[in-house]
Amino acid sequence: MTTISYPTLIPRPKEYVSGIWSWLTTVDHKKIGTMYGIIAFFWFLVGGIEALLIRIQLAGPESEFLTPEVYNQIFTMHGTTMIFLVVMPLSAAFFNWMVPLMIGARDVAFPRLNAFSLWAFLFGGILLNISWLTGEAPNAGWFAYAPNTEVPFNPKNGVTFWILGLQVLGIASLAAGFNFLTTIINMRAPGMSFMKLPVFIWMTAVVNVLIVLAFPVITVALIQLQFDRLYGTHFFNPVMGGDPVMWQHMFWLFGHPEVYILILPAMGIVSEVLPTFSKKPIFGYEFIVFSGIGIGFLGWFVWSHHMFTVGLGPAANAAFSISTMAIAVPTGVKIFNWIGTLWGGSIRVTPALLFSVAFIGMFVIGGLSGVTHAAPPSDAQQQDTYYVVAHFHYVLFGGALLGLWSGIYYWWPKFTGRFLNEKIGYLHFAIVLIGFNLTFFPMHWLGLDGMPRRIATYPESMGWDVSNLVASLGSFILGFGVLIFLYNVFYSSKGPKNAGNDPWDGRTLEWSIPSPPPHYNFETIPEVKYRDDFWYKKYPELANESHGGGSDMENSDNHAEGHNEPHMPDPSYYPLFISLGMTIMIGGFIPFTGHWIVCGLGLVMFTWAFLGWCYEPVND
Amino acid sequence: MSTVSEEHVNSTGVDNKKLMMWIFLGSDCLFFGSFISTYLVYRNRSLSGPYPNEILDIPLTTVSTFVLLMSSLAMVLAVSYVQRGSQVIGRYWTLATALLGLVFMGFQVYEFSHFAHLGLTPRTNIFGSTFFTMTGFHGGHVTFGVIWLVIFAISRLAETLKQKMLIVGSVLSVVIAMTGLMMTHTLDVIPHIPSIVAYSVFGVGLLGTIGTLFLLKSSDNQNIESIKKEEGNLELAGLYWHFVDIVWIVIFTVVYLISANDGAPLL
Amino acid sequence: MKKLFRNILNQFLGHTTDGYFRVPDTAQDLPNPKNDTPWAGTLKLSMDKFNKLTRKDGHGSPGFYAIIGIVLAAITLVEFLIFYVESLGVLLIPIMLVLSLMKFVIVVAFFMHLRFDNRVFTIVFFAGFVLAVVIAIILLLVFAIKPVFS
Repeated sequence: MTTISYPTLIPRPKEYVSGIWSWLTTVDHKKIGTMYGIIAFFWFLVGGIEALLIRIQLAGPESEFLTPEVYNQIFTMHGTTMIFLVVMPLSAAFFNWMVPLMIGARDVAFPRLNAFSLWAFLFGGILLNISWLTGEAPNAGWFAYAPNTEVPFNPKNGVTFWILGLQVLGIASLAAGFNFLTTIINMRAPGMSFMKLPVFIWMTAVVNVLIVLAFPVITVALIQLQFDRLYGTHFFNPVMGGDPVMWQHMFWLFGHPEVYILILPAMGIVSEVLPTFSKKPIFGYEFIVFSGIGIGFLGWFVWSHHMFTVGLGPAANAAFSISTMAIAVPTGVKIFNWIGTLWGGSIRVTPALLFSVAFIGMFVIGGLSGVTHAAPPSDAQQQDTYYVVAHFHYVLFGGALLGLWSGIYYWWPKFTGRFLNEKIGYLHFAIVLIGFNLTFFPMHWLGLDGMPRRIATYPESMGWDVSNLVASLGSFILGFGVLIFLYNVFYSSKGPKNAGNDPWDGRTLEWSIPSPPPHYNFETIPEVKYRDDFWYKKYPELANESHGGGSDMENSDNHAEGHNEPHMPDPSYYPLFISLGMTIMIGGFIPFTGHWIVCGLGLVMFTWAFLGWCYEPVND
Repeated sequence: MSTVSEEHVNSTGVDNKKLMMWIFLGSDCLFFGSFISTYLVYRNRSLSGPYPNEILDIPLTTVSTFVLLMSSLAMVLAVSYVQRGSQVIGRYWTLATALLGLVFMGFQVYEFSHFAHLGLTPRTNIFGSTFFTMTGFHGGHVTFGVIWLVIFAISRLAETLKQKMLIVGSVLSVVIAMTGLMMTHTLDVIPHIPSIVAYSVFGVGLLGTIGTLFLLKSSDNQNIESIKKEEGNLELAGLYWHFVDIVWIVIFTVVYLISANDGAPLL
Repeated sequence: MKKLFRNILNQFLGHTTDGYFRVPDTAQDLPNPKNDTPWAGTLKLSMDKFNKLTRKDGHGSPGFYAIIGIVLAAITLVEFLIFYVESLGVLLIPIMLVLSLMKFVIVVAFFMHLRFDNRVFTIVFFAGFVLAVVIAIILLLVFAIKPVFS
């Protein structure tokens, strides 16, 4: 008997709303996942253009295509965009779509919070990129080392935009982290114990634990930097006793778990794609799961390997070097398990499989260059050179992005009911792979030859021109490959909706429901008896072999036979407005004339939406 | 709040919201841990200005710690009474928790303004920067908690409009009383107020608090479903409040008890 | 492996009925049983008493909570008094840490009810807390071990 009735102008939307309003007020994880994917892909194109601008500038020596000031802004925004606005949201798109489907739930634990994460992501990305319009985009690199970011060296508002944009994005990620952890722990189908979860869900769980624990650290670091810049504190000001190295510690304490946040979802996707297209269960399930947990855990103790050249001393360097080398072990275990999955399987070649296999290859190359970084002596030569750029692009593009593309090709039939065209898919794969390697492989020797990072141009006499030109040509080939993918999306959108429930003969629960899934996902929540339970429902004789007994479910068809549709949570417009209000409030901290008024207006909208959310009535 | 979580049998048997609150608290440990780590790393690095050994007031802070601990006690009593169905007593204890939290904030405000008077601001030196941000964000958490508890008391436990107005009145009276109390110590940001005025303001506030609470006269809620919902939500507020308390325990120990004798850097 | 652990734990908690050192609760002597620890059963006994005191169904009485509050206040008072004992020197730090750890555990276990709730809460909370403490310690070590450049 809640007695308070919150005054509302617009009543809560009902389940049957349609059109744009249904998308803006949706709390359905599938729609939210789709929106995450579309928005992330938009930012991918933006970040890609920024990358192409970099490559045009670096194609030849002493180029004047971009001034150094603009160049700094471009590479800063390229890095920030790709990490926070592309790879993380693409992973979030997959979490949103697949987590409830794979654990047999109807939605996530807190649907409105899920919508809030999406809108906060959208508005945070906009806040970050508004800086282009003011002519003062952030220019200190995606890691914003102090004291370069302090006021004497960076008086304009660019870094402030970066700080505040990342705060909003951080809040979005944190909310999503809480949501998915609660969902995975608490909303699994009956019988689905932790060791029966698909590997993708395990990786999602580890990633969300990392998000929930790492983002508070960057929040604090950003607060400290903001206070230094705007309110005169001395956290990173050596003149008054502060220590710029402390920023590096705080940033990389977040930053290293962050890179595992970026790669583990793609590893999870690969662990789903490979078994399906080899018609074998994943090799060494427990090893892959515990390796994932191990990577997540050990990733907390390696952060100073980004600081080997800062002067921490031999003891610290040695300790972090050992831990960094240790973390290569679980990663290697996973690689061998994936190879073991493919080995002896009945391989079905599809673009999804090709991307996953390419993931393994490219990630190993990136991992090898990473291992050379783990030793401080060799890192002393490699730090701040293009060798590092090669390393992280191999693991992030060749790893995370190829893995995500694999997931897109794999689950596209489930999302839309249509297939992505295979031939165009192979073309996309080939061109992307060739372009990617042409772009980033030369960077290995460029780095070893001494070409520094983050330089706007280089002299002719260094002999770097040919490799740089090759890299730039490769980047355009890569860009063309991305366009082919876009063409594939549009071409396939006209195709027939003939995917059916289970086009790939899959193993996990999402293939047991129609494509695209109905609003409520599962007609009846499935009872899970085995790992890869759906596979053993389809082939009970295999269950007899490996488990000594078939599944108990009689009929897994999930038709609506005179059932009432399960009641799903109603849509709500408060998540949209609360994230808008919050972004305006946080953006109002940027020092421009009248900014406190803007902040106050944001606070009003935020408070109104917050209370409205708490007291929102349930439609019946 | 979410029909999906209500109709679905949970895998662990615990409530979704409670689980999420615990995950949030685990995450908040990292938040405060970062501030506290920064403070610890920057010990003995202030180049000038008031140092901890000159300015920290241990007896005063011990009293404020005691106040916050008692507010935790009040909170757990509130939850305990609401769970037994004694809504009215539970409501009073919730307000008592909020009141004690406000008193704690009063101590913090006094400490901050006193430090400012002695020349320590976030800009003065590194001790100022780390100290004020750490305790400031803790105070922000306390304030949010107080607002949550007061809104809880108003919305869920008072039924008629008259009762809600009375609770709002009691909270305002408390704020007036505390303002009066702080004026007696003559905060340096406002001009000197004659004691008689300050004490009468305090008296008015005190009377207002007691009077409004006395007039409330409400009865226990009979609706079982509503009781369950209330106790669930109050339990969440309780968890948050206790967490804020244990963060203060850590800060008090680390900053006031262990680091109280920090001074100029040892060169 | 799991079974081995379980056996050892049961012996420690006194869940075996043939404890060697257990004081017989009947008039006649029981025959010498095998494989038990000297403290068998005492932990279980005290836990039983404790659980009864705190009402195993998980809801303490207001009086119980008031006692806990008094305990907390007493620990705070002890901390305050010890603060002024100069002769402790560096020993002050571990003593303070232990005392506040006691307060921390008491508030978390009883006020936040973690003692009686599902284990999952303990896991998710202490994951964050332990990580924060460990990282703080590593960070302090990194800054404490000053590099020596020759």
